[in-house]
Amino acid sequence: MPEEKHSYKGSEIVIRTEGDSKELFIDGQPIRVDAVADDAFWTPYMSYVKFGSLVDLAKAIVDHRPK
Amino acid sequence: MGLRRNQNKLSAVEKTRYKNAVLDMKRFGDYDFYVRWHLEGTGMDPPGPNRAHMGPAFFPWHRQFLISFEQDLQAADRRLGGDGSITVPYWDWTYDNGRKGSDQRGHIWNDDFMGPNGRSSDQRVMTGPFATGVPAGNWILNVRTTVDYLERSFGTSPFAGSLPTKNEMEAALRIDFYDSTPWNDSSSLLSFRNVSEGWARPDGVGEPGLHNRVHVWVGGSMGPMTSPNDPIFMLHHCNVDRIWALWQLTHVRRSDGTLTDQYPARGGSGGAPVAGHNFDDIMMPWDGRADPRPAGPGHSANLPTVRVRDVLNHRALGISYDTDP
Repeated sequence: MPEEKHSYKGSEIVIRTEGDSKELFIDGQPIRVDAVADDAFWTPYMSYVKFGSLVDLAKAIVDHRPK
Repeated sequence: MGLRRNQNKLSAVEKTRYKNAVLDMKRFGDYDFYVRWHLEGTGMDPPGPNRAHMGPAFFPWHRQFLISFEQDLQAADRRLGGDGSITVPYWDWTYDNGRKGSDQRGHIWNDDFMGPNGRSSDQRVMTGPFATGVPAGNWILNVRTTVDYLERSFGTSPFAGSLPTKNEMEAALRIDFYDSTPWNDSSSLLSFRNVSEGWARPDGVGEPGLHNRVHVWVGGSMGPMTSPNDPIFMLHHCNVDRIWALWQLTHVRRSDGTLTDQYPARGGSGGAPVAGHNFDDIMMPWDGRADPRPAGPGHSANLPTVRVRDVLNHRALGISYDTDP
């Protein structure tokens, strides 16, 4: 399964792609992500914003999670 | 139900009565079910389609949510010796947007009502009735959060530096159609629902609009799908419901002055909305299941079965707003 890794503010972001589906992990924890309209992504952890990319979504979660 | 009023108009006594009833709901064991039901409505737990957002039922689902909450609130008021006549007030965030100096942080955030912003280091709310670990209320978050205390972080998100403006709200109220295909978060600017929910903005700004923007502006506990953990959720959604009622009263009267249902999403052209968003759909969790709340006045063995079509006319439900014409 193709894997894309990013490092952001000390956290490891991993995106695994299989066919049309993608899985997101932040520091090893799976993050629920839904593909929504307009090729955007949505997560219940930041549920009132849509993101244009999974990396942007993951960075926002890292930015906003409790210190 | 009853008359729902602007929180700015509440007396000190009325604020205290509301706050105390919310705290009593938490102690009694009612309150956290509203957090759980919001999670379920959004398809997070248990996993499923989002029946409460990103579709036509956004307004009806949250109206039923507030109706149920208000009934429990009134029961709490009676437990505390009141007559049960209190209602959920609304927070007109466009008023706070118009404020200067205080940086959009009006009296609603004082310690005698909703309590203040969180501290900058960890977003934790430290004073007021909904702070955790203080005698005033000892507000503890129990449902799916990484911390057990209330978090707020006003205006710090790059997605929402300010609250919605009156112009934004009025632009939404001028839209003629309740919703439009494809009945989701990409419905066009012709959709009052999608613009008001905040996925589409008439000004083309790529940030969350109206309803969504308020969640993001408050930040902290208001961001994830457990957002009812912050009691400001109810005042925010009371305002959202008021805006829907205003739109209905402007756009969808019959010639005799009564409201039509005006719920256009019945699976016409463009395909049906997802489950839960159609006119005849049952709104989860109000599907007749066993009522999980503690036994008490107003609670029966089972939750009521409520369909989208049952809650379209706020006046028929006994709800009115102080801004109704």
